Amino acid sequence: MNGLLEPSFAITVLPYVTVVVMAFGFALRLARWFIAWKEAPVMGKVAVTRHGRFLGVVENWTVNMLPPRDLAAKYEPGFYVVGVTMHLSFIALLLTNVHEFALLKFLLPGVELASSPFYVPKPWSHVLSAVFLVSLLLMILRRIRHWVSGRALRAISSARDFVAAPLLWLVGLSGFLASIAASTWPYPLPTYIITLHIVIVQVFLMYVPFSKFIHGVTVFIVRTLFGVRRAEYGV
Amino acid sequence: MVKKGLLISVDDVLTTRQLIELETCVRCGACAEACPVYKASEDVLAMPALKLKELRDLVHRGQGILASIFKPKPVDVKELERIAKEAYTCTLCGRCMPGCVFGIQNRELREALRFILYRSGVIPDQLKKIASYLDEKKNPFNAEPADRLKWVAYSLSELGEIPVNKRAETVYFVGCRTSLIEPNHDIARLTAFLLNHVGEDWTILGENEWCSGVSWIAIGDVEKARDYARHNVRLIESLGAKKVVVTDAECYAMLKWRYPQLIFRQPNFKVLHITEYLADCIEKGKIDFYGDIDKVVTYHDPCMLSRLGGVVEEPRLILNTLTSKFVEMPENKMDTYCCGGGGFLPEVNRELSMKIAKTRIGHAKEVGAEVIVTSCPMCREMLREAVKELNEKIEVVDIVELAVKKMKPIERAQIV
Repeated sequence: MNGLLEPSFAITVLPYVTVVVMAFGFALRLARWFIAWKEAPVMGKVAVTRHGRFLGVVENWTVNMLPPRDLAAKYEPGFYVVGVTMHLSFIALLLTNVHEFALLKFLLPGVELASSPFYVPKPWSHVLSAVFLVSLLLMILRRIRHWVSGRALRAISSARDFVAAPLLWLVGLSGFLASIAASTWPYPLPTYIITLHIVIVQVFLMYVPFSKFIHGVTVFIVRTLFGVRRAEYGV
Repeated sequence: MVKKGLLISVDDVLTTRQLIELETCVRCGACAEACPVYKASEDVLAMPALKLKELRDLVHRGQGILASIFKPKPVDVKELERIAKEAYTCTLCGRCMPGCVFGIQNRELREALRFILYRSGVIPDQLKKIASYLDEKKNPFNAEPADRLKWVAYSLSELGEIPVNKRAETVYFVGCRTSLIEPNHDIARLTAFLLNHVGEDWTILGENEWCSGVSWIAIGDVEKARDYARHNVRLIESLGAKKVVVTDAECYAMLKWRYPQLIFRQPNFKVLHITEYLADCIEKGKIDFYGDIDKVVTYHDPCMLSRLGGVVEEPRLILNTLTSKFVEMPENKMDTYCCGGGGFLPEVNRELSMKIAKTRIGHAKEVGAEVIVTSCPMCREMLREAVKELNEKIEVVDIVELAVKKMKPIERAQIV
């Protein structure tokens, strides 16, 4: 258990690297967006509105995401259910385990978030992990199936799509195993699993600003702006 | 050997919002299932996400991290031609927007892609021809400007006065498709009748009217669309008009929503689609209808009027006044299905366009409709052609046609 899996490396040196890489990645993104902002856009702003923008945004974040309004739910119900399950279980796991993040401990020393109202106790957190892993695996299999059979997703998939989702799956799997190792339920696992999880999570975090995972941040902007547009147009 | 290629400039094409949208797409492919062109062709070329991917690749090559450090990478002309084939296999109906799980406004990204391709000179030949007509004659049909008044010439005795280019409270923006394609002249004539009937102080722009700019947007020249928008706005404002009535859904979306974007200010007039105008007249009791319609009536929402225009309730108010046998088609209002006629798809791939139109007729048949009402000359043309090819007995009419037919006999007698 040397090098990368050394606990001291994973929770002292690596967080510095992670913070620097993440900051660099986000700064690059922001710089590109800012440059585009400064240049005169082809399109100006819509100057008239029909309905209140705030209500439009709220609607677009609630009822418009549910069947029957959501077209993805209408046309690919299986994909919709699996996708929603995967995302919700991921968010729940994130909220449950956020206090255990090495990066957070590093950035906010002494701050204890274990009493979070979103905390899911064991063994339910294990069930949540299993749900997340299965649903994400189904999403990965969907893409592989399309790729193999030469169907629609093959044309739009790139090699990076086959890196991103499996990496997230590894985060989930190592977290699941680490959680078991930490709790001794149902049986103890080697403690280096925990260190392994910490390393994988930090690799994942470094990858976020350079990958499709950026949608975890940008979705809030994009969906909100579509809500504004729908409110303006009155549809 | 030096590889031939073009340096693509993307700097002035995308807004910050659009850059963020490009980076938000996770390539899940959900938009494909919502896209009428993809559903009709089952061809990956038609996938909205593929077009977005191509645009992102072009942006990265011209503006990405590596391009900033080294220099922008030229794009092979053959590759651009392949991308053009994808970009123009689209009706610009915008159904990919509600079809996207994130709400990416894919339609505008498609327009941006077309803008890049147009500037690179790789648009389909059919569209090059249309662009030259637009340049020369200010309409996409290669018709003389004077032809815009043909419907006025043979309508005078029936409709009373049709004021051309005079100062008036209201301008009727007829649109190229209505004024220059003869089978659509009835829409203009009946609208003129309605405006005279309610005592509106109105005029048309006649020969001076230019394409609203929607054709330029579809081809990919936003700058020309801006010039045309400025021309039309200047003209309308010079007549002192406070209101513009439009019967073409594409022109409506342009005048109402795109003109403020293109000219960077709100024009000094209000834009109303004829359905909004009619609904207002009904509510104010300016028009009376008689009798009921004996047939099952359904309504096809034109994409540019509903999803991209925001007018969904007014046509329903009119139809519920006109008939007790109004039924909704599946895929309506915001989620309306395309008629196959937009984005110059019929010019690029007629067969595919018709396949989409036939799917829409299938939706009408599902609810047992005998009459399909719409409020766009393009949709009417496409659906009528599909009905003819399918040998169906369904009638396809414009909402103005139906409204005038149901007006009091004494009023109707003036034009029938």
